[in-house]
Amino acid sequence: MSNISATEDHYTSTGVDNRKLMMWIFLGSDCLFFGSFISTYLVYRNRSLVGPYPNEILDIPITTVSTFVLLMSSLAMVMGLSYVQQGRQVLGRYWTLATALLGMVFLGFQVFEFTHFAHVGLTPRTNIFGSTFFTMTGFHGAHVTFGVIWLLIFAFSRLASSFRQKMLIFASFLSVVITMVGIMMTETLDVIPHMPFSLAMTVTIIGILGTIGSLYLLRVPDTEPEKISKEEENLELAGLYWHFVDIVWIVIFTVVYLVSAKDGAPLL
Amino acid sequence: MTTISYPTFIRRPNEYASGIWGWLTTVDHKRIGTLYGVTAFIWFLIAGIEAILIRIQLSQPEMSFVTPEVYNQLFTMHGTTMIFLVVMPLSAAFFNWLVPLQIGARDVAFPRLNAFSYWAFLFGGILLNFSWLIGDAPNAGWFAYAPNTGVKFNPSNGVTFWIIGLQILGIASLAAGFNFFTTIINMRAPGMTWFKLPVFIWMTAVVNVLIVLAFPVITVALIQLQFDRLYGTGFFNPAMGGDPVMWQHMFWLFGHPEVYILILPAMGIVSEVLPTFSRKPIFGYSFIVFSGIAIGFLGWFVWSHHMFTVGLGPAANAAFSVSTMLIAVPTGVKIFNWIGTLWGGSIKVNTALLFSVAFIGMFVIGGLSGVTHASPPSDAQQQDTYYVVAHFHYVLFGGSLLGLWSGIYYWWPKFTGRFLNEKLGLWHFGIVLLGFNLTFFPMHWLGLDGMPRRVATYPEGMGWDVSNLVSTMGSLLLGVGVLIFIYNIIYSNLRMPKNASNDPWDGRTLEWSIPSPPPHYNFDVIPEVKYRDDFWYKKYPELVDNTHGGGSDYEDQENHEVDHADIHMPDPSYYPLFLGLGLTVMVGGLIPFTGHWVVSAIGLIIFIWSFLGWSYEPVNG
Amino acid sequence: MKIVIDLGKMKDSLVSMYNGFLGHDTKGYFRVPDTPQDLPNPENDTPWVGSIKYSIEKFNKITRKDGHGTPIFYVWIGFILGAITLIEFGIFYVEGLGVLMIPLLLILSLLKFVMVVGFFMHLRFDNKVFTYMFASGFVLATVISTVLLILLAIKP
Repeated sequence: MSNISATEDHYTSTGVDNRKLMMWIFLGSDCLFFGSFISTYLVYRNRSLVGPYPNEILDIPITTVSTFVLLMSSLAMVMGLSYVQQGRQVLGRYWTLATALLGMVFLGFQVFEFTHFAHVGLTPRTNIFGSTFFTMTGFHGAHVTFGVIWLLIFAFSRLASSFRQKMLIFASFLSVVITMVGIMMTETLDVIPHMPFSLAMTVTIIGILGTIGSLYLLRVPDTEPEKISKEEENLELAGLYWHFVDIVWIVIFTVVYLVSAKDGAPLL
Repeated sequence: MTTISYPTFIRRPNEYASGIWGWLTTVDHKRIGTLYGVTAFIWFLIAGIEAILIRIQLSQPEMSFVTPEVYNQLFTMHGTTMIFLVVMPLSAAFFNWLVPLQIGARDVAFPRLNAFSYWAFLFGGILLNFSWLIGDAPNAGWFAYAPNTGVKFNPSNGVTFWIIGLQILGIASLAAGFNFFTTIINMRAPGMTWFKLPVFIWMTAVVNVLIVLAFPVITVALIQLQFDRLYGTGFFNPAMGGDPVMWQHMFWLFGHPEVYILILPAMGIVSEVLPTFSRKPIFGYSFIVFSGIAIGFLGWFVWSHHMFTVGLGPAANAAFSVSTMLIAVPTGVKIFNWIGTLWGGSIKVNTALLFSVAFIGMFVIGGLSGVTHASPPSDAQQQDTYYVVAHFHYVLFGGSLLGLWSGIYYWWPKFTGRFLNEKLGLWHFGIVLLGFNLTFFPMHWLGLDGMPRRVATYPEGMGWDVSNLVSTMGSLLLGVGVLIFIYNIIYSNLRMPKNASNDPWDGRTLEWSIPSPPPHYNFDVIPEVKYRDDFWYKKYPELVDNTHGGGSDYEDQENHEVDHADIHMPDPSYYPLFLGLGLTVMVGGLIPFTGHWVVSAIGLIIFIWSFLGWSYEPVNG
Repeated sequence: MKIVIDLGKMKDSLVSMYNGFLGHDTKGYFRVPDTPQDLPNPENDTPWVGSIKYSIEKFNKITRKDGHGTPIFYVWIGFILGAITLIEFGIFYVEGLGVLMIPLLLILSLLKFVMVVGFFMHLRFDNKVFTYMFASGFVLATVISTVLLILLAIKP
């Protein structure tokens, strides 16, 4: 106990890991960050001088679906963490990958929504609704993107010990990129001219198959019980971050889409 | 399980690298504290010169020493530099040095993040002041009210520099806030429960919570202003439905907790210095701690007292007036506690004590003028006059800075092993106190007489000439005092013997139980803490029956001989420096100039490389 | 390189996934009870009531302080979250509610929020210090937003 080193987490005053504690403090701080954007949105309700207005443009059914997708990605995250905590690498990484893919689907919905709005004439520069809406959901989307990248890195981490494995990792990353591109293609059908839906879907499915296939081929062995904790910690941190992004979206969905969906021109 | 060997082009440093490379790659909280202190002091000199230029311009009516445009830049940069590049980093220097030492830890929770905070601060400050070199410093005041800062009235890049610089500094502060708060919660020595912590650590904890909660708000506000200026959004643009008053709300929601961030560390320092030199424990420990927490909490609900003249309405004004007056109460409690500490104590008079006592006096004066602001009708008279300038300089200079100087004199032997010369210190103290009061006291009546602030000059025949001249003379005297201080530092390094013992002041807290300067690993053996001011009672066990706050029923552990090879300290790393550099270049590339996207892309690459390298480099074995 | 597809291993991993999904109870709800007290009482309870009581008891056992969620528990939470989302979607379209819609939606969202934070993020089972950290940020953000909105709603 006297030889406590500074960074090895042998002993802490509360018994919890430093990094987990810091992640929770960070999440508390991030509440203020998103709270400021959401407050700004709420303050500026019904103040746009020109259209398009929320009641003309917000699509509740599609957003409900994307909310559901994000909630399911949280579920997948929890499943993945549970498997990693048991040391079962393959299942853990599959579920983590599923979380990342669902997150990408959510991002796809966001991209679709943003491009559709731009098509219809709403940009951040059009009116105050555009400014507040795009910055708020845009920064949320940026948080989701960072989370997706983090989860992908985790899903494929520490696998390479031979050239074959390195090639498979590269192939899997490529597949993931292709999946992402495919999803983006499906979401921007009305923006990119002459984009066949079938092509977009084919690209997406090739990407998904490639990802699953490469991970299977990598044949990751299960973790020995003594070594579980490090992996579990890292994924736990990613999980907390991911769930937080989800609950911010719950707040945004309720406050912006459901409660404020019928906003229009300023009341005179 | 193999680790990915990450390609590096620079040789990894050894355990405790030497020379310049050692300083560039350090993750040792003591060295980082020194870096913060030295850098902050250099910015202090620069901001001081800006202040003297302002005072010269104002020494006589209708002077044209500087043009009004330059004058605007001067007071903007003076304020911004002093707040973000001087007082906050000087406080950070003390946090860095003292938090691990006073809680009995070997380092902070995240040493590399600690280093990153410093480098981001350094590069952010350089970026902000780089605007001087291109002749385009920010000119809208440190509070940057919209719509003055909008692209319509301020099309040049100055305000953009301000925004970007502050974002980088904000990230540095946030990282430090996370780090120190985690450290205080999680790395206390065994037996050191919350109510055995030194008051300085309590104040540090409150300050870091405030940082962690307040800086996201200014981050959002700065993003919104940046987007308004560069990308055509309408957050503060009435033509699109926005409202300039929203900037004031967002800014002061941050700004008011920020001023408590500025003052609480100095209060913590004073709460350490006074007990040592009165040979008494701090009077009313629980009251001081709870007052600090109350100030931190109530500080969130007073922000609109900066907006009494904006037209929020009588209900809002009344509510904020009440909350502002309320917050004076815990502050007053602290004042009485400090006086109670000195009362009946065995006082040892030296420079550190003098600065702390002066802190009490000057801060009370500043606090009184602050309370007069709390009443909206009275504030309507004082707003935007020199009365406000007097108020905040009394609390910030007479408060924060005097408190920080007290801490410098008190802990200098611990940090360097040498003393600062007492005689020079007394001269420094006397001249600074005199100069400070000469400079800022006349501003009270100048303000009440109606002299407006932030205006480059004033007309003849207002009756302000003499007071302004006195104020300018005072500021020059202040400059002399600072020069004496600089001479003291040089003298101390060259002439004073390096003979400070572990405990030259007969101190009460844990940092005095280790050598001066401390070894790399701080403590040979992590102490087991039984009482508040545990070190004092280890020295004077006969006083144990007088302990306040009680001890725990902790069994005494035997001290065993420790082989220093067993102690693992974190390895140095160059990634924090490069991450700070990458961040600055990446975010700085958002300022519009020819080729700025290329610069931003280069910054992004450096950032990603550093981020990945940091994530994958093996943490100490 | 040779690519070998081991069908046996595939079947094994699928079966173990299935088992894992059900939380180590290969017989799901038709499991052999642990103790006689677990048996539903056929004289007083219908089979449905018995299994509801069993579920409530299991829920309480899981969600007490040092409990731990099983995978099936998380899946249930997932279902509930989806169901609440659907209910919110439905409420949005009910015209008769008027202004009452807003508190209703807020309460439902709060329920979702608490479930994700409490169970998915494990806050319910973890050290209290995490709750304090997160709650202080969240509560402060909510309070300040509310104060700001009230402030701006009061016309001078």
